[in-house]
Amino acid sequence: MKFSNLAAAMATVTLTILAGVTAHAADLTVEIKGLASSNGQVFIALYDKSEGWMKKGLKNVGTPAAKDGVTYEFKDLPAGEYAISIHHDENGNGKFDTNVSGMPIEPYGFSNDAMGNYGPPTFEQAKFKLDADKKTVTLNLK
Amino acid sequence: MDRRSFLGSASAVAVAPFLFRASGAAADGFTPKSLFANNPRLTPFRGFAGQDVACDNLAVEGKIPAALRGVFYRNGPGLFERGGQRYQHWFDGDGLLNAWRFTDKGVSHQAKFVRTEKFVAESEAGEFLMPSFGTAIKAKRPVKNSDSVNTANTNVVRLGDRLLAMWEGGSAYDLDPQTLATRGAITWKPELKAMPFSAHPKVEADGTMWNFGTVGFGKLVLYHLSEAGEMLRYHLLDSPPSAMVHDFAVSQKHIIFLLPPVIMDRDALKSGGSFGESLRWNAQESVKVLVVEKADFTKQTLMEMPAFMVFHFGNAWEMNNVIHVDFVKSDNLDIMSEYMPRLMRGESVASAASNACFMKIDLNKRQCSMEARSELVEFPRIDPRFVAQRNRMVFYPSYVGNDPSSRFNSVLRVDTETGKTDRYSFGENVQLEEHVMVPKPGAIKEGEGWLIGIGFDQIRQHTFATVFDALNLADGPVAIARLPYWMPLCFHGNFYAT
Repeated sequence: MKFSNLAAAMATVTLTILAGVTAHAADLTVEIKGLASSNGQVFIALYDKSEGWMKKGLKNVGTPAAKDGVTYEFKDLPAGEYAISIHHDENGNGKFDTNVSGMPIEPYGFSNDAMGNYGPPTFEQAKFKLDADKKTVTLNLK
Repeated sequence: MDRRSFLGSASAVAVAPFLFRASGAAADGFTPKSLFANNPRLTPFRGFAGQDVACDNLAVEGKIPAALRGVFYRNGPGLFERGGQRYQHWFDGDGLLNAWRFTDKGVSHQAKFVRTEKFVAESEAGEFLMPSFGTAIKAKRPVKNSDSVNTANTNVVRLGDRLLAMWEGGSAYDLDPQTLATRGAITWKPELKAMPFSAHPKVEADGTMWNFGTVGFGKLVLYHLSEAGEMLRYHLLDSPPSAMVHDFAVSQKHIIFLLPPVIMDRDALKSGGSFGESLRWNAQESVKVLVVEKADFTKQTLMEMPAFMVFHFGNAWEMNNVIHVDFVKSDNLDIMSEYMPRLMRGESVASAASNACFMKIDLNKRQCSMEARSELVEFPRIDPRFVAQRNRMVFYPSYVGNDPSSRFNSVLRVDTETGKTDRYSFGENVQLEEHVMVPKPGAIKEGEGWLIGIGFDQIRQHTFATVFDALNLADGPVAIARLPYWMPLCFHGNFYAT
């Protein structure tokens, strides 16, 4: 009856591929759905390699939260493999809040159907290919 | 009337007329019947299909004492199957809160599932979505933190105007004491959201509550709450690692943990095993005796004892810097790892022994010693006015008989000073849950009052409540109140006088 070390875990992500034209640079649209409120900001971290996964993103951006959904576009990205982690900073303190045991207490999610097993998923589980000139990734925080 | 005859034979007692309503098919309509077809003693392990039930007026045999007025709240796992999938462990089921009300009009019963985040989502989906303690279910929804998988299925206590339905790995759930409606998971302080809050808080006579949680493997969190339910103090401390710390004890000045040598096989967990399936017994390792000062959580003493398993404590008290603590011990994890999954499969199976045990922790000499009794027992309870004070009575459900696969069929009171016992057995066709001591209003003497508890009648296939004179168990129950249906077995509960 003890799941006290379920410190971090798993998010539902649906991936939508819209176009299929190969290009040197591509635009990536991140759609975030299922926000519980419009309070605070949504932080999006984009990674292009497993080194630094969940630590230091290639790009880290914050965008205002909106209950009916948030969209953010990364422009002119080199084609390649990427993974995304997001968190909804509901209280707007600029941090990913955890309880005193280190367990997340603000909503978070990952690209792909990436759900970790008693921990966050790996970069490999969350990665997707960006080889078209446009791509949209949808994450559901619910 | 000869009280001993209450359950002696089917013809012993005429059942009084009674009224009841059930807001759903209460009993025999549920699915895994084939598992249990030849084993009517395990009917309660079928579980319910998620329905709430109620009975306004139970059939009462004998006489409910005029001074016994209040609500007996119980909690236990009540749902084991959805969408054709059955849980493999008793601990997995969703919390089903029971209220047995003793009023001037008689005895009534109400049971309602705790509307946890998990229960609500899975009810809507019609299938299990979350991993459970003992069944490796692949998550179909994100497991965000402990409360995503919290079943609130283990115990219930009243704190201020809240009824707390507790699991142990996550938050306590707040319920309305009158309607049993779920108000939501309790966040004592923002930084304590979704923290583990054990199902065995200790409430002293002045209403002060002590509790703990197991954080990962190697930390404990201690809580001190006021009678009104405010979090007065909490403290995170490093502890020897143990993956199964279910209960603890509190004395006048100390908080006592016996940390059993249970380790987590991380590889088993990583490869998809359930939490329960990944626990391992490490017989080579010792039990760690951790004593923490109530006044200063940073002051700790650590000692060791040879390996044993403990789930439940009765009480602790101290004199001259020697702590006396009683609990129920077993040799290893077999009851949880082997016995319970087989019960859930409808098998007749003998349980490993669990016995009353009495330990002395000498803080001056830094020595521990203990003695065990031979009766088969579990679920120790004491007079609630003596929590953390010197007591000499412990009450247990016990087994007396020769059928190794039978379950608790008798109640037992042990005098811890003389070793004398007082007991009553219902025979082979009854299984009993934990029994709770209820002091008589105005009484001062320890044990003066009633012992009340719940049982399952295997012949009549229904659940009943018993009332004993707590100082004279041998005479048999003074009253039995019978439901027209059976209930899944509960783990723990408490009585609150009105």
